[in-house]
Amino acid sequence: MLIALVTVAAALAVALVVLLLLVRGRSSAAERLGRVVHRFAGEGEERRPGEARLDHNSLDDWITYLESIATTAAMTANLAERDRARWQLAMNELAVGVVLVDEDGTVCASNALADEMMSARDAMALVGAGVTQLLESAQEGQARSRTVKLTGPPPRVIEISGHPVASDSHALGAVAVMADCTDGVRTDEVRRDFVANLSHELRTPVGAIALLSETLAEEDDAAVRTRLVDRIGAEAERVRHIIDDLLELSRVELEGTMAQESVAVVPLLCEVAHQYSEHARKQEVELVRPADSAIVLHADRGQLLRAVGNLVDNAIKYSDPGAEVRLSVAPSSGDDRAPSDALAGADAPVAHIGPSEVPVPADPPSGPSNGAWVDIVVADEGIGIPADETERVFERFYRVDKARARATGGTGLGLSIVRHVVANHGGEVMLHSREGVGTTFTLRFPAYQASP
Amino acid sequence: MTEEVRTEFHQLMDEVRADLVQMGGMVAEGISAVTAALLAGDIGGADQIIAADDELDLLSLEAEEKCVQLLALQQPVAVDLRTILTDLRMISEIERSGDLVTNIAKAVARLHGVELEPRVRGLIDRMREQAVRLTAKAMDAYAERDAGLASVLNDMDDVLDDLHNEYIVAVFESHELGKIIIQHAVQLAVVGRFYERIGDHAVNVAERVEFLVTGELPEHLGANRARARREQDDC
Repeated sequence: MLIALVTVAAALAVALVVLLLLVRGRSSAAERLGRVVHRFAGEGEERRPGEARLDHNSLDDWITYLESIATTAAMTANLAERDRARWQLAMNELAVGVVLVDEDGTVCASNALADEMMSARDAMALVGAGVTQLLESAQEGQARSRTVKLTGPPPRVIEISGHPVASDSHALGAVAVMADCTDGVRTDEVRRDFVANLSHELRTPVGAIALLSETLAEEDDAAVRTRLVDRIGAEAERVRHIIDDLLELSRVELEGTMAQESVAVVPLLCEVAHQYSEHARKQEVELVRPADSAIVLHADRGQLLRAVGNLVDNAIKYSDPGAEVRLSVAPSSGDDRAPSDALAGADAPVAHIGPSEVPVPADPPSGPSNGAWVDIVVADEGIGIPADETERVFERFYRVDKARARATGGTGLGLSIVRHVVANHGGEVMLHSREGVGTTFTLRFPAYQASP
Repeated sequence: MTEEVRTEFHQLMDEVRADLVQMGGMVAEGISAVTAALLAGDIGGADQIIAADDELDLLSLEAEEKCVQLLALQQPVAVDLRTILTDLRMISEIERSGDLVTNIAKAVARLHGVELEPRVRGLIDRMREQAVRLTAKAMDAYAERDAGLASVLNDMDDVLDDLHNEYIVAVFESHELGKIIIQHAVQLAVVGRFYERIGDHAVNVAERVEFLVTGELPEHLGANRARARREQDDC
């Protein structure tokens, strides 16, 4: 009996101890769980170990708490994802290419421009190869830069540089930047050439006049004197032409389109054709007039005459006898930045000289609607313009063939004037050319919408 | 192969691929640069292009060494083996294209002072355009493992072949009109042939890419015919 009682008491005691141990064990597990959860939630750092929050006692409480943490974590992940997307989009807006690699050389971030440059397989592949090399040396702690020049056409100059990325002298990777400096290099070139060409164009005739008049002063032979006087007259005429064109150019540049009116295009083109018919006849070039059409532009008539006239003058000048110069006008959707032209070949190089190059001073009162445009086209079958010069012919005093320039006359300002006239009207000039096949100039103007 | 060795192996294969793309870029730029030098009569520019070919030679030797290393040390099979064999063949194709660019550069000095007719100049420019396009497309097909693109390259090359024929006619017409002497006409004809050959090398590259992806070469058709004939003869 006593033995049985003792046994029962012992069993009870053991059960109690076990129960106590169990409860203790559970509560310490709950405590540990609490600590872990708080660490996840980012709250543990301020709390001493063991000091679990007292309001989470039961397992259910913990589950509820964990669920709320999971929701917060999902939201945080979502925010991080949006943050990343925001950075990516912002990087894509940069005008330079950026590539970031980690310490193993694996790309961890890059923007759209960089991806485009790095995945090129033509001459642009040299930029990608250069960037890879610069990133390698940047990972070894060396910042370097390099200029990659590509012949084109169109020619391009890309500056690439690689920099180590480190935090407290601990290497984290490297970043490479690629910047297209073509426009900057070209602007410098244009400025330099302009000064050189201007002084050449003005000095040559003036120098000739000085020399001729010196000779004239010492000459007695009447026949020679007449010849000298004629030469002086011709050179003076040349200077006058240049000054006229310079004034015209600055007027077009400064005034914008002062006198805008409705201009019927076909009669205007016929007027130009008539004006140059004598010139064309002398060169044995056939001037093909445009087909009849009722297209009307809102434009400065004088400027338009001048622009088309300059193009026709060039077309005749650079054509061989027997060739055709065609004038035409057609409405255009403006979608085709490269109107097909059988003559120059669909794959002919194209230069676009748009309003972005020149500030447009005045908007036409009725702007283009539904992207409607009018194309005035002057196409010739002449000698053409070398592919690498198509971008430059619109520069002032720029000459493709310096030797031929004097023989053909002209001031070297004609196409600059054309460019400005078109820009004044909110349009753009497109040029297709192939040497030995022909050149096509397209003047694209916003279509005139008659106000209701 | 252990995981680490495999990673190293693929890293080296990727390096060869990057080397090849860079070589393709050098050839594409070379074609543009040499054409600009030729049309401008720029002997200095041509000399630079000749010097730049050394870079291409060095790069092709390095890439070849990597391929040999891969073959000898890793003994790859299946697609890896095909890739390395393709790479080896491509190295020599691209290197050869680079030599052709050098050949054109050498002709610049021989043609110095020769005034070319606009039509001839225009055709040279169009051959340049096609040669660059073919080279870039072939490299695209290789880098992207694009058998479809590779298969159209042969047709694209027909455009260059036609241009080449038109160009030869234009050069000799120019000679008949007394615009250029026969020595220069022949020199120009040879230059045209160099452009045309660059296109052929691009087509070879594309054929190798087709082999890489599909395991088939255009030559297999002819080879099968020959094999069939041989078996017939044996009977």
